[in-house]
Amino acid sequence: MRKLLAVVGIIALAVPLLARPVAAAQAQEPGGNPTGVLGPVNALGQEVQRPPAPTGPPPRLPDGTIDLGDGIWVGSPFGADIGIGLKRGEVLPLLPSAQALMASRKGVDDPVNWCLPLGVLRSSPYPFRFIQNYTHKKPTHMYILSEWMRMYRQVFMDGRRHPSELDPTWFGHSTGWYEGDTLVIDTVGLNDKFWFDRRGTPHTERLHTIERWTRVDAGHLVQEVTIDDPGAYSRPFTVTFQATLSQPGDELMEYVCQENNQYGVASGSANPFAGP
Amino acid sequence: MRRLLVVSMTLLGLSVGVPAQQRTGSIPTGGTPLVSAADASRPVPRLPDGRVDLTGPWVGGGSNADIEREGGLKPGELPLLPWARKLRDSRREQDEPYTICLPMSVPRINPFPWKFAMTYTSRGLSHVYLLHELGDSGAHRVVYMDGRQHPVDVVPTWWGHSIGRFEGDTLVIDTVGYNDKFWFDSRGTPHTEQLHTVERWTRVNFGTLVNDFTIDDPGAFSRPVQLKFTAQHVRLDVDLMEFICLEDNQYGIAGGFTPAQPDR
Repeated sequence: MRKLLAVVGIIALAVPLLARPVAAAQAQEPGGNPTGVLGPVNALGQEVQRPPAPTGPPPRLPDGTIDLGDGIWVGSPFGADIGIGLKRGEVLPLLPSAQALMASRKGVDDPVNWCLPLGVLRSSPYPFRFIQNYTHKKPTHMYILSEWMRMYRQVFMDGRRHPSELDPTWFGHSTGWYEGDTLVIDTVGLNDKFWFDRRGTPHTERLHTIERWTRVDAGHLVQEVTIDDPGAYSRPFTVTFQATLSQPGDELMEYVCQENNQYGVASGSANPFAGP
Repeated sequence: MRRLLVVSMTLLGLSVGVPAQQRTGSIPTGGTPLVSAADASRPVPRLPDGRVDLTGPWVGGGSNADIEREGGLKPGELPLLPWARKLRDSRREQDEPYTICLPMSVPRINPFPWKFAMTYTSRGLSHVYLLHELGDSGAHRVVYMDGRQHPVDVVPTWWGHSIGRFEGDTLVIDTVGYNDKFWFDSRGTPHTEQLHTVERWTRVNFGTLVNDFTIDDPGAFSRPVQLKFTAQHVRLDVDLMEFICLEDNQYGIAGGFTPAQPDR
């Protein structure tokens, strides 16, 4: 099962599928066709038929804030190409240096292949969920958990500012607050190692992102991200995506990427993050 | 900073027989700053609904180098079956799956901070997450608090399937469905897929969290065994840091080790 999941993970990473195949114990249905727990299995794999996401009003916390954490979100953001989130006709305002870097990048060098973090804006095609913590103080942290490597992002909701001097990290330093029903997350202190997408869309350590998450109805979450990185782009720009609520009862599964990760060995690629 | 963290991991996480480790139920906390003694003795904080706030961050509360000693037993008291004792004695510290950034799992809470994230949702406390500074080597663990039962047929995983409930002020976490790949400690104390653990987490004052821990694994132990660990609250202004174990992990190469891959 673990190997199957890992295989599914790799396939999903390479080609984000709209319906994620589910590895399931196969059985024979009366007609002789194999069937999984979710329905028939054909040459394309497990067919997953799921009802559409709900459209009612979004649930609210006792204090009136919109609840982002009552389920699993899928489908947002990024993955294959950050550019699909741009307005129609707009192109990424890449500086020449960034354009050259992007052109030099090969898919085999994507840090994700080495089980390294997806960074702040890329979670697709893996499910994720928001965890609003609950303490004796006011809610002080928001966590964003990803099925990818079980990693979490930490967003400080207690009104603190970014430190003046940050060590660049994969997830940076994030502060958050609500503007009406929109959760705003402001992040700096990011390293330049992760890629925005499979195409290798780059950034520098000067990257500053502002995410605006709005749950427009019970089943849909719009993410609008302003990317401000004068090291790689000639102007700030905004990309927009939408995530969909997964079915009630769905939970994040365990995915341990590095367990028997044969990527480098099998492909003959050298880990670009290994030291000298 | 990254290198420093990696170095401290090697020193603290992997060294056996840490001399300072005399007190039972505790593991070395390394350089992690703790709350002052005065703060630690303050009363247990409570949520608006009266429930005890377990958040933390905490350091300690589980095993690291030797579960037998750290859990409060005398040498030889851990009721391992003969084959399991033999396996433990044959294991080399450098072969622990954790050295290649695989999850440490339960109750291996190393010298790194961790915290409970109690969820605040429109449906009440539906999940409790344990967030580990260990990052990619098992960053989070989920405990279902909605009253569900364990599935009848659990696929073995590194973290198993955990359900939780409050008994008074104690959070009780019941877990089955573990794989047999992780080690309880760097000494190599083993278990099987029959492992069933019960953690009873009680915050006795502001700065102290006790983990009464039951191992029930008829595959590797002759009887269930009761252990006790204590976690200490991290200083109030300290938050979990980012640690990506896999980034430039030179363990095998630099140490000349080729750890046994659990899947082989």
